[in-house]
Amino acid sequence: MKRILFYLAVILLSICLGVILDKMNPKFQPKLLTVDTEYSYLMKEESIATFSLYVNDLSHDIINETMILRIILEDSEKEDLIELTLYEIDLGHTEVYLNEVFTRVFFRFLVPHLSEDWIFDDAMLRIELTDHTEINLRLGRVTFLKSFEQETLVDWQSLDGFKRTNDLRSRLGEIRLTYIGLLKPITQIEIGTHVNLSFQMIEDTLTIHIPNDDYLLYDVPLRLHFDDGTTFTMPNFMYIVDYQILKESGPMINVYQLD
Amino acid sequence: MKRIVFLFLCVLSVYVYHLNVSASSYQGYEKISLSSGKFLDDYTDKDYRDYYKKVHKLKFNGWRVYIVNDEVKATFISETLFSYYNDGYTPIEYEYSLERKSSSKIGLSATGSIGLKMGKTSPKFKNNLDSALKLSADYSVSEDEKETYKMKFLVDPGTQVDLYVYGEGKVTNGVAARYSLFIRVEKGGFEVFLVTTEYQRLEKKKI
Repeated sequence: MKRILFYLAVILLSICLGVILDKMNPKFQPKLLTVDTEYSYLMKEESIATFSLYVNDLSHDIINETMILRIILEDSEKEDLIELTLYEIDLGHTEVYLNEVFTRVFFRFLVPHLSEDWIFDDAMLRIELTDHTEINLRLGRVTFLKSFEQETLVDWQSLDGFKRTNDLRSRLGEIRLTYIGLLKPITQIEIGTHVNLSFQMIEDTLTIHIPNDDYLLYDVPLRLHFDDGTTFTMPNFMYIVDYQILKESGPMINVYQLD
Repeated sequence: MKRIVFLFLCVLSVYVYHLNVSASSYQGYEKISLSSGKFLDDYTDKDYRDYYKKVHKLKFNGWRVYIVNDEVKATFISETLFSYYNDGYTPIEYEYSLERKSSSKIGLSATGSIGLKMGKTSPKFKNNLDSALKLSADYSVSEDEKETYKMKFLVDPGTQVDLYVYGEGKVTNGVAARYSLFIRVEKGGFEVFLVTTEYQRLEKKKI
Protein backbone atom coordinates (compact mmCIF):
# COMPACT_ATOMS: atom_id res chain seq x y z
CA MET A 1 0.00 0.00 0.00
CA LYS A 2 2.75 2.38 0.98
CA ARG A 3 4.55 1.60 -2.26
CA ILE A 4 1.43 2.41 -4.31
CA LEU A 5 0.99 5.69 -2.44
CA PHE A 6 4.65 6.51 -3.10
CA TYR A 7 4.29 5.88 -6.85
CA LEU A 8 1.06 7.90 -6.93
CA ALA A 9 2.79 10.78 -5.15
CA VAL A 10 5.69 10.65 -7.62
CA ILE A 11 3.32 10.69 -10.60
CA LEU A 12 1.26 13.56 -9.14
CA LEU A 13 4.41 15.53 -8.37
CA SER A 14 5.68 14.99 -11.93
CA ILE A 15 2.36 16.21 -13.37
CA CYS A 16 2.44 19.27 -11.10
CA LEU A 17 6.03 19.99 -12.13
CA GLY A 18 5.10 19.64 -15.80
CA VAL A 19 2.18 22.06 -15.42
CA ILE A 20 4.36 24.58 -13.56
CA LEU A 21 7.13 24.34 -16.16
CA ASP A 22 4.58 24.73 -18.97
CA LYS A 23 3.20 27.88 -17.31
CA MET A 24 6.69 29.26 -16.76
CA ASN A 25 7.49 28.88 -20.45
CA PRO A 26 6.15 32.04 -22.04
CA LYS A 27 3.78 31.17 -24.86
CA PHE A 28 4.69 32.60 -28.23
CA GLN A 29 2.46 35.54 -29.04
CA PRO A 30 2.32 36.59 -32.69
CA LYS A 31 2.67 40.35 -32.91
CA LEU A 32 2.57 43.01 -35.58
CA LEU A 33 4.22 46.42 -35.35
CA THR A 34 3.76 49.57 -37.34
CA VAL A 35 5.82 52.73 -37.06
CA ASP A 36 4.11 56.11 -37.54
CA THR A 37 5.29 57.18 -40.97
CA GLU A 38 4.54 59.92 -43.46
CA TYR A 39 3.77 58.19 -46.76
CA SER A 40 3.37 60.30 -49.86
CA TYR A 41 2.83 59.02 -53.41
CA LEU A 42 2.15 60.52 -56.80
CA MET A 43 -1.02 59.39 -58.51
CA LYS A 44 0.51 58.26 -61.78
CA GLU A 45 -0.20 55.32 -63.99
CA GLU A 46 1.24 52.12 -62.45
CA SER A 47 2.53 53.94 -59.35
CA ILE A 48 3.08 51.68 -56.38
CA ALA A 49 2.61 52.71 -52.74
CA THR A 50 4.53 50.72 -50.13
CA PHE A 51 3.51 50.51 -46.47
CA SER A 52 5.85 48.81 -43.99
CA LEU A 53 4.70 46.47 -41.23
CA TYR A 54 6.78 44.24 -38.95
CA VAL A 55 5.78 40.73 -37.86
CA ASN A 56 7.37 38.17 -35.57
CA ASP A 57 5.46 35.27 -37.16
CA LEU A 58 6.04 34.76 -40.87
CA SER A 59 3.42 32.03 -41.04
CA HIS A 60 0.57 34.30 -39.94
CA ASP A 61 -2.36 34.72 -42.35
CA ILE A 62 -1.95 38.49 -42.39
CA ILE A 63 1.04 38.21 -44.70
CA ASN A 64 -0.51 35.50 -46.83
CA GLU A 65 -1.96 37.18 -49.93
CA THR A 66 -4.45 34.36 -50.51
CA MET A 67 -5.93 34.86 -47.03
CA ILE A 68 -6.56 38.58 -47.46
CA LEU A 69 -10.09 39.48 -48.43
CA ARG A 70 -9.70 43.24 -48.76
CA ILE A 71 -7.64 46.13 -47.48
CA ILE A 72 -9.08 49.52 -46.74
CA LEU A 73 -7.27 52.76 -46.06
CA GLU A 74 -9.25 55.13 -43.88
CA ASP A 75 -8.86 58.28 -41.87
CA SER A 76 -9.82 57.85 -38.25
CA GLU A 77 -10.61 61.57 -37.93
CA LYS A 78 -12.79 61.84 -41.03
CA GLU A 79 -15.05 59.50 -42.92
CA ASP A 80 -12.71 59.15 -45.88
CA LEU A 81 -11.88 55.63 -46.92
CA ILE A 82 -10.68 53.84 -50.01
CA GLU A 83 -10.26 50.17 -50.86
CA LEU A 84 -6.73 49.49 -52.03
CA THR A 85 -5.60 47.02 -54.67
CA LEU A 86 -2.87 44.82 -53.27
CA TYR A 87 0.01 44.50 -55.71
CA GLU A 88 2.30 42.23 -53.69
CA ILE A 89 3.60 41.38 -50.22
CA ASP A 90 7.36 41.25 -49.93
CA LEU A 91 9.69 40.48 -47.04
CA GLY A 92 12.51 42.80 -45.96
CA HIS A 93 15.25 42.79 -43.35
CA THR A 94 14.96 41.48 -39.80
CA GLU A 95 15.37 43.52 -36.61
CA VAL A 96 15.32 42.73 -32.92
CA TYR A 97 12.76 44.63 -30.84
CA LEU A 98 12.33 43.87 -27.11
CA ASN A 99 14.18 40.57 -27.51
CA GLU A 100 12.00 39.36 -30.36
CA VAL A 101 12.95 39.09 -34.01
CA PHE A 102 10.69 41.01 -36.37
CA THR A 103 10.75 40.89 -40.14
CA ARG A 104 9.87 43.97 -42.15
CA VAL A 105 6.99 43.26 -44.51
CA PHE A 106 6.29 45.53 -47.48
CA PHE A 107 2.64 45.77 -48.45
CA ARG A 108 2.64 47.18 -51.98
CA PHE A 109 -0.51 48.67 -53.48
CA LEU A 110 -1.47 50.22 -56.80
CA VAL A 111 -1.83 53.93 -56.13
CA PRO A 112 -5.47 54.93 -56.66
CA HIS A 113 -6.35 57.55 -59.25
CA LEU A 114 -8.23 60.49 -57.82
CA SER A 115 -9.01 63.86 -59.32
CA GLU A 116 -7.58 65.83 -56.37
CA ASP A 117 -4.86 65.41 -53.75
CA TRP A 118 -6.07 63.15 -50.96
CA ILE A 119 -4.68 63.44 -47.44
CA PHE A 120 -5.26 60.93 -44.65
CA ASP A 121 -4.04 62.75 -41.55
CA ASP A 122 -4.54 59.83 -39.19
CA ALA A 123 -4.34 56.93 -41.62
CA MET A 124 -5.47 53.48 -40.56
CA LEU A 125 -5.13 50.31 -42.60
CA ARG A 126 -7.98 47.85 -42.15
CA ILE A 127 -7.04 44.34 -43.25
CA GLU A 128 -9.92 41.89 -43.56
CA LEU A 129 -9.04 38.22 -43.78
CA THR A 130 -11.03 35.43 -45.40
CA ASP A 131 -11.80 33.97 -41.94
CA HIS A 132 -13.66 37.24 -41.17
CA THR A 133 -11.07 38.54 -38.74
CA GLU A 134 -10.25 42.19 -39.07
CA ILE A 135 -7.14 44.07 -38.03
CA ASN A 136 -6.91 47.84 -37.81
CA LEU A 137 -3.41 49.24 -38.00
CA ARG A 138 -2.18 52.81 -37.55
CA LEU A 139 0.05 53.89 -40.43
CA GLY A 140 0.62 57.59 -39.76
CA ARG A 141 -0.06 60.15 -42.50
CA VAL A 142 -0.79 59.14 -46.09
CA THR A 143 -1.02 61.54 -49.02
CA PHE A 144 -1.82 60.79 -52.65
CA LEU A 145 -0.68 63.66 -54.82
CA LYS A 146 -2.20 64.60 -58.12
CA SER A 147 0.27 64.25 -60.95
CA PHE A 148 0.64 67.28 -63.22
CA GLU A 149 1.88 67.24 -66.74
CA GLN A 150 5.51 68.36 -66.64
CA GLU A 151 5.01 72.05 -67.31
CA THR A 152 8.45 73.26 -66.45
CA LEU A 153 11.60 71.28 -67.07
CA VAL A 154 14.29 71.62 -64.46
CA ASP A 155 17.63 70.43 -65.76
CA TRP A 156 18.56 68.74 -62.50
CA GLN A 157 21.98 67.20 -61.95
CA SER A 158 21.73 65.34 -58.66
CA LEU A 159 19.20 64.50 -55.99
CA ASP A 160 19.74 63.26 -52.45
CA GLY A 161 18.52 63.76 -48.91
CA PHE A 162 19.79 63.61 -45.34
CA LYS A 163 18.63 63.14 -41.79
CA ARG A 164 19.05 65.88 -39.22
CA THR A 165 22.36 65.80 -37.38
CA ASN A 166 22.18 63.32 -34.49
CA ASP A 167 18.70 62.14 -35.51
CA LEU A 168 18.96 58.36 -35.68
CA ARG A 169 15.37 57.89 -36.84
CA SER A 170 14.62 57.24 -40.47
CA ARG A 171 13.41 60.79 -41.13
CA LEU A 172 14.51 63.20 -43.81
CA GLY A 173 15.72 66.56 -42.55
CA GLU A 174 16.53 68.06 -45.91
CA ILE A 175 16.50 67.32 -49.62
CA ARG A 176 19.18 68.67 -51.91
CA LEU A 177 18.68 69.16 -55.64
CA THR A 178 21.45 70.51 -57.85
CA TYR A 179 20.62 71.88 -61.27
CA ILE A 180 22.14 73.49 -64.37
CA GLY A 181 21.16 76.96 -65.53
CA LEU A 182 18.67 79.32 -63.99
CA LEU A 183 15.51 78.39 -62.12
CA LYS A 184 12.38 80.50 -62.37
CA PRO A 185 11.35 82.04 -59.03
CA ILE A 186 9.85 79.32 -56.81
CA THR A 187 6.67 80.20 -54.94
CA GLN A 188 6.09 76.93 -53.09
CA ILE A 189 7.68 73.53 -52.51
CA GLU A 190 5.73 70.52 -51.26
CA ILE A 191 6.31 66.83 -50.63
CA GLY A 192 2.71 65.80 -50.11
CA THR A 193 2.59 65.54 -46.36
CA HIS A 194 4.11 69.02 -46.04
CA VAL A 195 3.37 72.10 -48.15
CA ASN A 196 5.19 75.39 -48.15
CA LEU A 197 8.53 74.00 -47.12
CA SER A 198 11.31 76.46 -46.43
CA PHE A 199 14.20 76.36 -48.87
CA GLN A 200 17.36 78.13 -49.90
CA MET A 201 19.16 78.43 -53.21
CA ILE A 202 22.90 78.81 -53.11
CA GLU A 203 24.72 78.74 -56.43
CA ASP A 204 23.27 75.74 -58.29
CA THR A 205 21.91 73.93 -55.25
CA LEU A 206 18.36 74.00 -53.97
CA THR A 207 18.19 72.86 -50.33
CA ILE A 208 14.73 72.06 -49.00
CA HIS A 209 14.22 71.93 -45.22
CA ILE A 210 11.70 69.46 -43.82
CA PRO A 211 10.30 70.21 -40.34
CA ASN A 212 10.84 67.74 -37.55
CA ASP A 213 7.88 65.59 -36.54
CA ASP A 214 7.12 62.32 -34.78
CA TYR A 215 6.85 60.36 -38.01
CA LEU A 216 9.34 58.52 -40.18
CA LEU A 217 9.83 59.98 -43.65
CA TYR A 218 12.13 58.46 -46.26
CA ASP A 219 10.36 58.15 -49.62
CA VAL A 220 8.59 61.20 -51.05
CA PRO A 221 7.90 62.96 -54.34
CA LEU A 222 8.91 66.58 -54.73
CA ARG A 223 6.78 69.31 -56.32
CA LEU A 224 8.05 72.80 -57.13
CA HIS A 225 5.59 75.58 -57.98
CA PHE A 226 6.91 78.56 -59.96
CA ASP A 227 5.66 82.14 -60.05
CA ASP A 228 4.31 81.76 -63.60
CA GLY A 229 1.86 79.12 -62.34
CA THR A 230 3.78 76.11 -63.71
CA THR A 231 5.07 73.16 -61.71
CA PHE A 232 7.90 70.66 -61.77
CA THR A 233 7.47 67.23 -60.16
CA MET A 234 10.20 64.83 -59.18
CA PRO A 235 8.74 61.34 -58.69
CA ASN A 236 9.06 59.32 -55.48
CA PHE A 237 12.62 58.55 -54.51
CA MET A 238 13.81 56.38 -51.63
CA TYR A 239 16.24 58.81 -49.99
CA ILE A 240 17.05 56.75 -46.89
CA VAL A 241 17.35 52.99 -46.36
CA ASP A 242 17.67 52.15 -42.66
CA TYR A 243 18.38 48.80 -41.04
CA GLN A 244 17.68 49.80 -37.41
CA ILE A 245 14.25 51.36 -37.70
CA LEU A 246 12.63 49.74 -34.65
CA LYS A 247 15.62 50.34 -32.41
CA GLU A 248 15.48 54.08 -33.06
CA SER A 249 11.73 54.70 -33.38
CA GLY A 250 10.67 54.15 -29.73
CA PRO A 251 7.33 55.90 -29.01
CA MET A 252 6.37 55.96 -32.69
CA ILE A 253 5.93 52.17 -32.66
CA ASN A 254 2.42 50.70 -32.44
CA VAL A 255 2.16 47.12 -31.16
CA TYR A 256 -0.71 44.79 -32.11
CA GLN A 257 -1.30 41.30 -30.73
CA LEU A 258 -2.36 38.89 -33.45
CA ASP A 259 -4.67 35.91 -32.90
CA MET B 1 72.75 28.85 -47.88
CA LYS B 2 70.71 27.08 -45.19
CA ARG B 3 70.68 30.29 -43.17
CA ILE B 4 69.35 32.29 -46.12
CA VAL B 5 66.60 29.73 -46.75
CA PHE B 6 65.73 29.73 -43.03
CA LEU B 7 65.62 33.53 -42.96
CA PHE B 8 63.49 33.60 -46.10
CA LEU B 9 61.05 31.08 -44.58
CA CYS B 10 60.84 33.17 -41.39
CA VAL B 11 60.04 36.36 -43.32
CA LEU B 12 57.51 34.48 -45.46
CA SER B 13 55.79 33.00 -42.41
CA VAL B 14 55.45 36.45 -40.79
CA TYR B 15 54.02 37.83 -44.04
CA VAL B 16 51.57 34.96 -44.42
CA TYR B 17 50.53 35.30 -40.79
CA HIS B 18 49.48 38.91 -41.30
CA LEU B 19 48.03 38.37 -44.73
CA ASN B 20 44.47 39.55 -45.04
CA VAL B 21 42.95 36.15 -45.50
CA SER B 22 39.45 37.22 -46.18
CA ALA B 23 37.49 40.33 -46.85
CA SER B 24 33.92 41.29 -47.36
CA SER B 25 32.08 43.64 -49.69
CA TYR B 26 32.61 46.76 -47.56
CA GLN B 27 36.29 46.76 -48.43
CA GLY B 28 35.32 47.24 -52.06
CA TYR B 29 33.58 50.54 -51.34
CA GLU B 30 34.84 53.54 -53.24
CA LYS B 31 35.60 55.30 -49.97
CA ILE B 32 35.22 54.39 -46.31
CA SER B 33 36.43 56.25 -43.23
CA LEU B 34 36.20 55.98 -39.47
CA SER B 35 35.35 58.79 -37.04
CA SER B 36 38.19 57.55 -34.81
CA GLY B 37 40.58 54.60 -34.59
CA LYS B 38 41.87 52.40 -37.41
CA PHE B 39 40.62 49.78 -39.77
CA LEU B 40 42.09 46.30 -39.42
CA ASP B 41 43.83 46.84 -42.75
CA ASP B 42 45.73 49.76 -41.23
CA TYR B 43 47.01 47.90 -38.14
CA THR B 44 50.81 47.99 -38.11
CA ASP B 45 53.08 45.17 -36.93
CA LYS B 46 53.62 47.15 -33.73
CA ASP B 47 49.83 47.41 -33.23
CA TYR B 48 49.56 43.63 -33.61
CA ARG B 49 52.44 43.05 -31.17
CA ASP B 50 50.82 45.34 -28.57
CA TYR B 51 47.32 43.94 -28.97
CA TYR B 52 48.40 40.28 -29.07
CA LYS B 53 49.79 40.71 -25.56
CA LYS B 54 46.18 41.12 -24.39
CA VAL B 55 45.18 37.70 -25.71
CA HIS B 56 48.34 35.74 -24.91
CA LYS B 57 47.24 34.52 -21.49
CA LEU B 58 46.69 30.78 -21.90
CA LYS B 59 43.17 29.43 -21.64
CA PHE B 60 41.91 25.86 -21.37
CA ASN B 61 39.53 26.17 -24.28
CA GLY B 62 37.88 28.83 -26.42
CA TRP B 63 38.57 32.35 -27.61
CA ARG B 64 40.35 35.20 -25.88
CA VAL B 65 39.30 38.49 -27.46
CA TYR B 66 40.65 42.04 -27.26
CA ILE B 67 38.43 44.68 -28.86
CA VAL B 68 40.38 47.72 -30.04
CA ASN B 69 37.60 49.72 -31.71
CA ASP B 70 34.10 49.11 -30.40
CA GLU B 71 31.24 50.17 -32.68
CA VAL B 72 33.10 53.17 -34.06
CA LYS B 73 31.02 55.23 -36.48
CA ALA B 74 32.04 54.81 -40.11
CA THR B 75 30.93 56.64 -43.24
CA PHE B 76 31.17 55.19 -46.70
CA ILE B 77 30.53 55.75 -50.39
CA SER B 78 29.51 52.57 -52.07
CA GLU B 79 29.86 51.54 -55.68
CA THR B 80 27.45 52.69 -58.42
CA LEU B 81 24.33 50.57 -58.14
CA PHE B 82 22.67 51.60 -61.34
CA SER B 83 23.67 53.36 -64.51
CA TYR B 84 21.43 53.86 -67.51
CA TYR B 85 21.82 56.09 -70.55
CA ASN B 86 19.37 57.26 -73.15
CA ASP B 87 20.87 58.05 -76.52
CA GLY B 88 17.46 58.36 -78.16
CA TYR B 89 15.33 61.43 -78.83
CA THR B 90 12.54 60.97 -76.26
CA PRO B 91 12.61 60.52 -72.46
CA ILE B 92 12.52 56.92 -71.19
CA GLU B 93 10.84 55.91 -67.96
CA TYR B 94 13.03 53.18 -66.53
CA GLU B 95 11.96 50.96 -63.63
CA TYR B 96 14.68 49.60 -61.43
CA SER B 97 14.38 47.00 -58.72
CA LEU B 98 17.05 47.53 -56.11
CA GLU B 99 17.72 44.39 -54.08
CA ARG B 100 19.76 44.70 -50.89
CA LYS B 101 20.87 41.35 -49.46
CA SER B 102 22.02 40.57 -45.93
CA SER B 103 25.55 40.23 -47.28
CA SER B 104 25.51 43.95 -48.03
CA LYS B 105 24.40 44.83 -44.49
CA ILE B 106 27.21 43.05 -42.65
CA GLY B 107 30.84 42.73 -43.66
CA LEU B 108 33.55 40.67 -41.99
CA SER B 109 37.28 40.65 -42.37
CA ALA B 110 40.04 38.64 -40.71
CA THR B 111 43.81 38.38 -40.67
CA GLY B 112 46.27 35.80 -39.38
CA SER B 113 44.90 32.34 -38.90
CA ILE B 114 41.36 33.46 -38.11
CA GLY B 115 39.15 32.16 -40.86
CA LEU B 116 35.88 33.10 -42.47
CA LYS B 117 33.32 30.79 -43.93
CA MET B 118 30.48 31.64 -46.25
CA GLY B 119 26.95 31.09 -45.02
CA LYS B 120 24.22 30.89 -47.64
CA THR B 121 24.30 34.63 -48.16
CA SER B 122 26.61 36.21 -45.60
CA PRO B 123 30.08 35.37 -44.24
CA LYS B 124 30.72 34.16 -40.69
CA PHE B 125 33.86 33.70 -38.61
CA LYS B 126 35.07 30.13 -38.28
CA ASN B 127 35.10 28.26 -34.94
CA ASN B 128 32.38 30.36 -33.35
CA LEU B 129 34.31 33.61 -32.95
CA ASP B 130 31.01 35.45 -33.63
CA SER B 131 29.63 34.22 -30.28
CA ALA B 132 32.83 35.04 -28.40
CA LEU B 133 32.60 38.64 -29.65
CA LYS B 134 29.19 38.95 -27.94
CA LEU B 135 27.87 41.18 -30.68
CA SER B 136 24.42 42.64 -30.13
CA ALA B 137 21.36 41.28 -31.88
CA ASP B 138 21.71 44.04 -34.51
CA TYR B 139 24.47 41.97 -36.07
CA SER B 140 22.31 38.94 -36.69
CA VAL B 141 20.79 38.47 -40.12
CA SER B 142 18.68 35.65 -41.38
CA GLU B 143 20.23 33.65 -44.19
CA ASP B 144 17.70 34.57 -46.86
CA GLU B 145 17.29 38.19 -45.84
CA LYS B 146 16.86 40.67 -48.64
CA GLU B 147 15.02 43.91 -49.19
CA THR B 148 13.73 45.08 -52.55
CA TYR B 149 12.96 48.66 -53.50
CA LYS B 150 11.29 49.53 -56.75
CA MET B 151 12.19 52.83 -58.36
CA LYS B 152 11.24 54.64 -61.51
CA PHE B 153 13.52 57.11 -63.23
CA LEU B 154 12.80 59.39 -66.12
CA VAL B 155 15.95 59.38 -68.24
CA ASP B 156 16.02 62.39 -70.55
CA PRO B 157 17.39 62.02 -74.08
CA GLY B 158 21.14 62.43 -74.31
CA THR B 159 21.69 61.82 -70.58
CA GLN B 160 22.94 59.10 -68.28
CA VAL B 161 21.46 58.49 -64.83
CA ASP B 162 23.59 56.92 -62.08
CA LEU B 163 22.45 55.74 -58.67
CA TYR B 164 25.00 55.72 -55.85
CA VAL B 165 24.72 54.67 -52.25
CA TYR B 166 26.57 56.27 -49.39
CA GLY B 167 25.90 55.98 -45.72
CA GLU B 168 26.84 55.21 -42.17
CA GLY B 169 27.78 52.11 -40.27
CA LYS B 170 29.58 50.78 -37.21
CA VAL B 171 32.98 49.10 -37.14
CA THR B 172 34.21 46.77 -34.41
CA ASN B 173 37.70 45.33 -34.67
CA GLY B 174 40.50 43.87 -32.60
CA VAL B 175 42.51 40.71 -32.14
CA ALA B 176 41.60 37.25 -30.91
CA ALA B 177 43.29 33.96 -30.12
CA ARG B 178 41.71 30.52 -29.80
CA TYR B 179 43.01 27.96 -27.33
CA SER B 180 42.53 24.26 -27.15
CA LEU B 181 43.93 22.40 -24.10
CA PHE B 182 46.08 25.46 -23.26
CA ILE B 183 47.56 25.42 -26.76
CA ARG B 184 47.09 28.47 -28.95
CA VAL B 185 45.69 27.15 -32.21
CA GLU B 186 44.55 30.33 -33.97
CA LYS B 187 45.48 33.97 -33.72
CA GLY B 188 44.75 37.06 -35.77
CA GLY B 189 42.74 40.19 -36.25
CA PHE B 190 39.00 40.44 -36.87
CA GLU B 191 36.70 43.19 -38.06
CA VAL B 192 32.93 43.49 -38.26
CA PHE B 193 31.22 46.19 -40.26
CA LEU B 194 27.50 46.86 -39.90
CA VAL B 195 25.60 49.18 -42.22
CA THR B 196 23.04 51.21 -40.27
CA THR B 197 21.85 53.80 -42.79
CA GLU B 198 22.14 54.08 -46.54
CA TYR B 199 21.49 57.30 -48.44
CA GLN B 200 20.73 57.04 -52.11
CA ARG B 201 21.92 59.67 -54.56
CA LEU B 202 20.76 60.10 -58.11
CA GLU B 203 23.05 61.82 -60.58
CA LYS B 204 22.36 62.84 -64.14
CA LYS B 205 24.98 63.77 -66.69
CA LYS B 206 25.05 64.59 -70.39
CA ILE B 207 26.50 61.93 -72.72
